[in-house]
Amino acid sequence: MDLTKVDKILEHHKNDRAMLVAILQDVQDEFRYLPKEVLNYVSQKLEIPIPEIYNVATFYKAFSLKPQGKHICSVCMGTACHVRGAPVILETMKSHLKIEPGQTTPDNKFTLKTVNCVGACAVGPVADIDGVQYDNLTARNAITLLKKIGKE
Amino acid sequence: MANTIKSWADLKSLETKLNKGKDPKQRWIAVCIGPGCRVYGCLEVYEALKQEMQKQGVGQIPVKGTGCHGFCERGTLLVIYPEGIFYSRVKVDDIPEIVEQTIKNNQIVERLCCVDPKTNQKIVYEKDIPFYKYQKKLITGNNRKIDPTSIEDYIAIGGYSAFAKSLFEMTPDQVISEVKTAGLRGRGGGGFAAARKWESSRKAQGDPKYIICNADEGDPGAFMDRSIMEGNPHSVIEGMLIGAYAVGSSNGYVYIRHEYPLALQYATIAINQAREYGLLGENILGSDFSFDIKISRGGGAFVAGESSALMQSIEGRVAEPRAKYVHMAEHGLYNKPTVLNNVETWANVPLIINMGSKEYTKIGTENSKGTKIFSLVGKINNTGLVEVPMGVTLRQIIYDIGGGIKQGKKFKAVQTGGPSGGVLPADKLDLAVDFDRLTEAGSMMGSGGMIVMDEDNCMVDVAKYFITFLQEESCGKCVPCREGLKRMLEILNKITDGKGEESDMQTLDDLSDLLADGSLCGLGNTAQNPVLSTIKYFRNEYEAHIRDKKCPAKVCKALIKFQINKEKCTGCNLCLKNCPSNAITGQPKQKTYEIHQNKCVKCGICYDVCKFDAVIKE
Amino acid sequence: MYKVKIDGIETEVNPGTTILDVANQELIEIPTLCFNENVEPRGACRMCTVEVEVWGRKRLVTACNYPIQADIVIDTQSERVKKLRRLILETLLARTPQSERIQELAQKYGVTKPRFNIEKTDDKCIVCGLCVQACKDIVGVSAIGLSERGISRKPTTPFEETSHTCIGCGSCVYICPTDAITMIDKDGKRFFPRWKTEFKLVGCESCGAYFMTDAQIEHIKKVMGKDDPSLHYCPNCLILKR
Repeated sequence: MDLTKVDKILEHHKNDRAMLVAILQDVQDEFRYLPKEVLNYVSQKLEIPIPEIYNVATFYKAFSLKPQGKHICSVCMGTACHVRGAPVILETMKSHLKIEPGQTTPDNKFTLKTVNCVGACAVGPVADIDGVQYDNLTARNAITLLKKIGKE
Repeated sequence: MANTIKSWADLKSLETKLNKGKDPKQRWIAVCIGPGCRVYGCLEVYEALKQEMQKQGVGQIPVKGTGCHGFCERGTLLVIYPEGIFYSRVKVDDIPEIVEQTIKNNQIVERLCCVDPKTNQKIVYEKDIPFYKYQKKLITGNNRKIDPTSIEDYIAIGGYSAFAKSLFEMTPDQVISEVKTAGLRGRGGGGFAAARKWESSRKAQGDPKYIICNADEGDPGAFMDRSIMEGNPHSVIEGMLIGAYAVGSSNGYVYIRHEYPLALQYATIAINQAREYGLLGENILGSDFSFDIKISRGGGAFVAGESSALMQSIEGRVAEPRAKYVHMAEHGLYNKPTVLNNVETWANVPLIINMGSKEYTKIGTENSKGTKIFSLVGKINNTGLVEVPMGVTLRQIIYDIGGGIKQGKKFKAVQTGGPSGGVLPADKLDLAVDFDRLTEAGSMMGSGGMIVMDEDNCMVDVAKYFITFLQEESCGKCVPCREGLKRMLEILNKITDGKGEESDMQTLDDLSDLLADGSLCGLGNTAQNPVLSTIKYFRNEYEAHIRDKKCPAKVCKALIKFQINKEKCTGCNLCLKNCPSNAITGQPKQKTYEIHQNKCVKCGICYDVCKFDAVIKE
Repeated sequence: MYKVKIDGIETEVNPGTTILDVANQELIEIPTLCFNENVEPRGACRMCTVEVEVWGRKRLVTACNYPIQADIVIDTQSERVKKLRRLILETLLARTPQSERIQELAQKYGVTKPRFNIEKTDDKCIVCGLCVQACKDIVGVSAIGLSERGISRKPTTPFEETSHTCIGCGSCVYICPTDAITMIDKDGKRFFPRWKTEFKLVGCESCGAYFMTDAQIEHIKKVMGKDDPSLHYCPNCLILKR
């Protein structure tokens, strides 16, 4: 595990303990999850007891302590999306990928997640895949979308 | 630094310089690149337009990528000013025609115009479109005029002049007094008088004092703050500067939710630019007032929108609320005096200083002054962001501006106030929307989420949705919220699974008391509102689920059946192919398709994919 | 000084006195679970909620951490308060049906069978946070912390694995209001099932009785910067030695 990358992140945030959430987000962006080794290292460097780091890492939804798949698909479960059929989209993706939200496919291609509102409320149902938002989803086009991305 | 504005006089002359030679009659084009239009490919449209303008020799006409115009239903929006020729649902392929016909030859491309639903006539100009006609876009109006990544665009329209006026012509107490007279109430949902918070912090002992902008916007279905942060972030910075001056603070924070990476990006650009121009930092505009803003990122937690939890998060901890028996205004961030206000609240501050409280108080109702931005979404024709004076009725918003219910269905209810709010049925449509009126009816205005529901939405399912959301977002600190929401969901699941009992209604009522009276923070102590309001206005639906084991709106999976109508079925095989549980059998091209109830998981995929309406829900 | 009327009894207090302090003073019993005088009150269990009238309005507040800042009337037995206590206990009884303390309180306040699914568990933890507070603020070791969110929130060791910083002092066991943490001393070892952590016990150099873990001794030596008889002899023998 390349801890020099972690040093860079800590330096960027001036080793400020108040920036813990941002630091962990940058760590996750770098490693695609929060490795235990890195969390122990951050605890050491910032002089924050590891239970407190673990508390923050498991409290916020942005973080994953397990490695994530190549494509991260987040289905928005906001109210506007719900009212326009988001549950069907989630069911569709669950059954197509054969995993539950929070899990990763065995081939490590997809991680399925739910997110509580990305603010694209006028165009729901919405899913965010790898940072790109797809709107006005239906059961049909959701499957087409997953198939297309799965090929990449 | 080269761009530093060293005095108010310099700011004024920069504004003058930026507007020099600008002919109000001169053409320019705005392409909305706000959050709602992004999914329609607005960035591609914007690039294509710029290129085509060059290609066709009209590259000298300015084109701006602006913040959200609000009419998200019809994105991508392209508006030609000064006339306000309004094109919607614009695609890249439409660009050459727009440039050729409209820009060069003043011809309207009719197919890109909005249509008046009553007369079926084309509407060419923005000001005539019902969606815009009835709005009063005091805060969001500027989104259409500026490039949010350009501080000079903001200065050119008078940006930062309210701050300069406050700094050089008013004392901090006079600023607070002005905001107090204007009656500015918090737009994040609490509706608390902003000036009272400012006054408390000003008087409190403790140094440094903090100014925080809450851009967490956790209410699902709400994206007003996102549009302001991405459309006019400088208006928020200016508001914070005025507040900081009034309170005596040099340290500001903007707390941005994890799920808004674009707002984070735009806020960062705006803050860096403000620093570059000397509007943030030391000795601003040559005065002895200094102020700077740090950005704090959320980690994905709705509860972080609660003020004490937000401050914990800024300190690098979990977003656990704490008792507020001693106000945050006196002991907040790092236990110091802290003023926390919402994005829209801050954006109102420069407006109040510029307009003057006398003019500002002419807008709105007796106890709710000014305008409010709403996110009008759900089963409505014109989804988008709407800004109206407080006091406008729900009916006006939903029908005059919103264009009524999608697909001609029947209005059932409108949900306002997010998870802390409630539903209001058709006979409440003439209620004036402001801080107090909706609360009297069992809902609340909240941060501005307005979700319209029709006959196909089940109100018990809506209650279940909100309790599911709240249970996921509960921080878990206090027993009433952590355990109460779990048990409330347990009962709602029982009811929607067809296993409800009469006594469940009393249990829901008791759990509501547990939440309202026992919870530590606002997440818990308003959590019962979605349940109580749906019971109040739609008790019959609960009774149908419990007594008759039926879901009148045909939503609750355990109480519906999917069947295939053999008359309409064409044997296309689409349902069978997409069924996740192999519950459908049939021979292609033959009308032998059947859904086997023992295997069907009621996911609704077959109903969704069938192109012939051959799958029926009963 | 502020005037206080609590359950009809009139008295005066200094600003900042908590309602619980006043109640204790006047020998009025208010039930608590997550309160312990040795740590900051978190106000998490809400059991100590009382109804007050202050600044012209009535509200419900937690007695353990509400500082009196004006003249106040306090009712610890109002209908609203009694109902709230029963509801809190009803949910806790469903959560930790085997907890003797919760059973006792439930019986005292008239809660019989919860109307909810009873958890099939012998776990007695109500996530009051006292164990975490004790470890951090009293002992100063911070070996455990809260983790997860919402209904899954619980005290754990980091990564729910054996702790490398726990010293086996047992403070968490003593402070827990529902006896949810067990400490098993057997065959010269001390085991904490909840923390998946085990220690060697050290015997008194005089009588041989086990009195501390090896980790405790190391920790205290480090903190004190030196050795001490209390690290060699059990409390009984220590008195004899001195």
